[in-house]
Amino acid sequence: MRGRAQRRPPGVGGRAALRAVVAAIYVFLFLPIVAVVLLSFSENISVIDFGHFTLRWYEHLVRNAPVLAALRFSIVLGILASAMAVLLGSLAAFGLVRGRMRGKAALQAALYAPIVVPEIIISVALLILFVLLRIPRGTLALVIGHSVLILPYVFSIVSARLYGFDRSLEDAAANLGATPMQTLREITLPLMLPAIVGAALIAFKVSFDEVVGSMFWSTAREQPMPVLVFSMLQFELTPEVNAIGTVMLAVTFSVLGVYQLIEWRRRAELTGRSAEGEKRLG
Amino acid sequence: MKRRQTPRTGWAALAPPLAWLGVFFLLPMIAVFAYSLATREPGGGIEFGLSAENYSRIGDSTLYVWAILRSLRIAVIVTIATLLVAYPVAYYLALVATRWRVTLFVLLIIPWWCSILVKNFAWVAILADTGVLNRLLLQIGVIDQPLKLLYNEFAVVIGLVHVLIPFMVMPIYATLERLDRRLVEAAANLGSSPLRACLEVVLPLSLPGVAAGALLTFILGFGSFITPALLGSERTLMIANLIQGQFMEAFDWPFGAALSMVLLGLVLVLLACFNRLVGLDRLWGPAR
Amino acid sequence: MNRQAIIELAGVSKRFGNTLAVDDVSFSVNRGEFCTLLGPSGCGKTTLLRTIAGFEFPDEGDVRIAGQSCLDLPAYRRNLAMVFQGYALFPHRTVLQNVMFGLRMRKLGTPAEIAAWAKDALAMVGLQGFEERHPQQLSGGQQQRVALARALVLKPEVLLLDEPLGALDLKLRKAMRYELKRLQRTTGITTIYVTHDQEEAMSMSDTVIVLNRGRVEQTGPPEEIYRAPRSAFVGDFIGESNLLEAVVAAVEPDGRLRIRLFDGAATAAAQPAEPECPPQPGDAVMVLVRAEAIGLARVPQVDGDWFAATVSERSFLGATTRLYLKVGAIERVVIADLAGAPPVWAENGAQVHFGWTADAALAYSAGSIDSASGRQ
Repeated sequence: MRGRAQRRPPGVGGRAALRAVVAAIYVFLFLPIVAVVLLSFSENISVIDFGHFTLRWYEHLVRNAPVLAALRFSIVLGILASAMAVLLGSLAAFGLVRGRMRGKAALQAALYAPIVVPEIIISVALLILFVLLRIPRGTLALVIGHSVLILPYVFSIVSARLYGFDRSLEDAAANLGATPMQTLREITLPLMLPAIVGAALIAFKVSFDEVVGSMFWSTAREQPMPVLVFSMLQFELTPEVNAIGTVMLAVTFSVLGVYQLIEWRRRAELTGRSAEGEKRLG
Repeated sequence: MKRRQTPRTGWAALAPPLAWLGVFFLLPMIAVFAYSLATREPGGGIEFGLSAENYSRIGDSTLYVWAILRSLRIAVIVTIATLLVAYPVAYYLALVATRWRVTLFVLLIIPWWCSILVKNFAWVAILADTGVLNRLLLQIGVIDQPLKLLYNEFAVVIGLVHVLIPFMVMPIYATLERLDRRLVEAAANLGSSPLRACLEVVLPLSLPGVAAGALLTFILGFGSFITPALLGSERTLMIANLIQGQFMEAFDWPFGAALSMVLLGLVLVLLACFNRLVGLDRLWGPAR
Repeated sequence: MNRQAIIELAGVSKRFGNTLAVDDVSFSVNRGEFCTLLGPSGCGKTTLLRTIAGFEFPDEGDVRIAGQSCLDLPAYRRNLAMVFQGYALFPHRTVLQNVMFGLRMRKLGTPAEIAAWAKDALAMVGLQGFEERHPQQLSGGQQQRVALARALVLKPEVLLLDEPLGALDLKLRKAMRYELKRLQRTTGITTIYVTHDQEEAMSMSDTVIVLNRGRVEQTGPPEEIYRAPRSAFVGDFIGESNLLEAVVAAVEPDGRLRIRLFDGAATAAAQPAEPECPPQPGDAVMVLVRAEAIGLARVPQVDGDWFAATVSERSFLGATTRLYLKVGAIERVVIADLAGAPPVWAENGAQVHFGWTADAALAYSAGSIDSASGRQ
């Protein structure tokens, strides 16, 4: 070590540089998104120019029937697809976490496969299958396709929470006389509910933002928002696009907000309360 | 003697999701494979057979071979660029930030929550000839003619890096977070500068996380469709765009299926290599 | 006390993978008895308790409740109630709802009756007024009492307790030991208690079953376990003891042994632990001498055998003082517990002499060495 006392501890200069780099990267991440949101409020015909503040594009939006229809469709589709995915994903989580079987690694790989296989492949593959099975494109095809794409997310969230589940609670319930069904109903499911709800919210988000698959499986009348937006971006670029994008962000963000609120409340319940209890004496 | 019921109920719960995936994931893959060996009839129908015609067509055509190579190249560039950007963030989050860690983490998740369409389109707004960046550079006089930053490979790479940063940060963060901080302190104690401690201690230990992030980023970049469609041009077509073209414009499904199989094959090879070297459980946690 | 056995284990063995957790264990617990399964971690005591409760299934052997094999009965049909190590209180239910749970599951009464009984049970453990709280809002000791109330309200045949006091601080633990014992006496309920704390076991139990590595080492009332440990393990596990290697020099006519210790020429007296099968001259033995049985003197006294040692450490324990004595050439440490203040001359580094009376030393044949403490 140096003989002379230094005014700053070693490494601080490096740390400041790192902080600057990281800050720059965060700016890089956020700038484009902020730009779109700002542009949606900007009075200017040119899609990419800033101007005066206006809500004009949102007014256009509210009167734009196809866009509203697509938004409504996306929300309904999201609910249906996430319901399907939550059901299947939760079953898979329970089966894998609680089951005692060989080949769990392979089963897990199978359940996560829809995330590692490129979306385009799943999209065309299901399209081919729908044709072979004579399933028409539209709502049903979209629900099926989305549920496949979303399942791994639900499985991941629910199984993670299930691994950490305190089994002694279930043992206690059994010891007190609860049958396996009663234990499931009274103890396991209520305590797993936050995780399942969280998974449902994530599932909704993934479905809502799904582009590639939706493109292949939708029709002109039954198309979710992202498909409409994508064709707008490619073919008829209007300033409304920024407003639409902002609305999509608003939807996903309110879902995220609800999810975070649930998480915070759950964590506050578990820690805040027992900290209170610690202060008391036996 | 009575046996415990868990093995049976485990399979009972797994049956519906596995059946669902079997029918709507595995079966389609087999169907694609079957289609790739089929030929398109002049009337528009499909003649199933065992023809390798589609595959040889890919190999014979410079257009498609170049597209595949281009996709590979772009994916490699994107992966390296994303890694260079993501590693400092992961490092900072895991090993340096204390008070801000949760906030920064949430801030990292937020871009992931934004639709890819919004993110890609934002780059159109920024990189266009009359876009934000060019007008800024023109205004301050660095250039006197707008730079061609859009509808080329550069834009595609920027767009992909922007989208894929969270996917690279997460696995690296997860690995670094589990790192024993005392190892770094011990290195510093033994006289190495922070940079050397990072290079010689932290970096090697974080490699599994780096590998996982790189794999994910590469696969997502290699098979990406939207970003090249919005930010690229006909000269930057990637393999996913070609596949879409075959299915929705040329309607040559067997050929499109063959292209899909090439993409799938490459991805599976990558996954197999990754599994051998690192283990797939690095991607999604061990099966307990 | 009714001598009828209510829990019987016969030849129970249980394997987990390659490990034999429980090895041919048999014992019985009588009605109204407070029986403790005592042993170090890994000895199989929790596995045995869980087997009785129905959470583990034995690979061999039988488990009988009130004379009938319960192996066909799943856990939720056995009339036993368990208090778990972490209390296992349902966090999403109030304290009252927790206590009512078992009554509801077993449909033992109308909702009004159930609520009333639950309130009484809470009063019995001194928690009246806490009904509407959630478990997370209670301290460890309060949670433990809720768990107890939840079990007792069912009036089960047997109460099972799995190291329930482990998470509490010492003073609270001692208070709870007294509480538990009092409750058990008042209700008369048969209790099986699992712990690794020998002081706890000794102070609370009617019967102690000492376990080691899946096997029963000794069964009996606490006094018997303490005074007449049947193996070196039991002697070493209970109380503070010295376990010394020795060789039998001679066997005296009255059965006592002359043993040679500390690699020296000096010998001392000892009793064989198994008088029916005494060791022979030349046999290696382990000699158990309790720390409080070690006598201390400045110079060797006329009668008895005394060994020279140096005081290497002193620990003040309040009511007693613990001296660590280093014996000469082979650096063997002997522990002596002295009541009250130690003599002035027994300070650190001082030369002293120690010894014991023949009936305070038990000699075990070398085969019964299996000390969990790992002392020399």
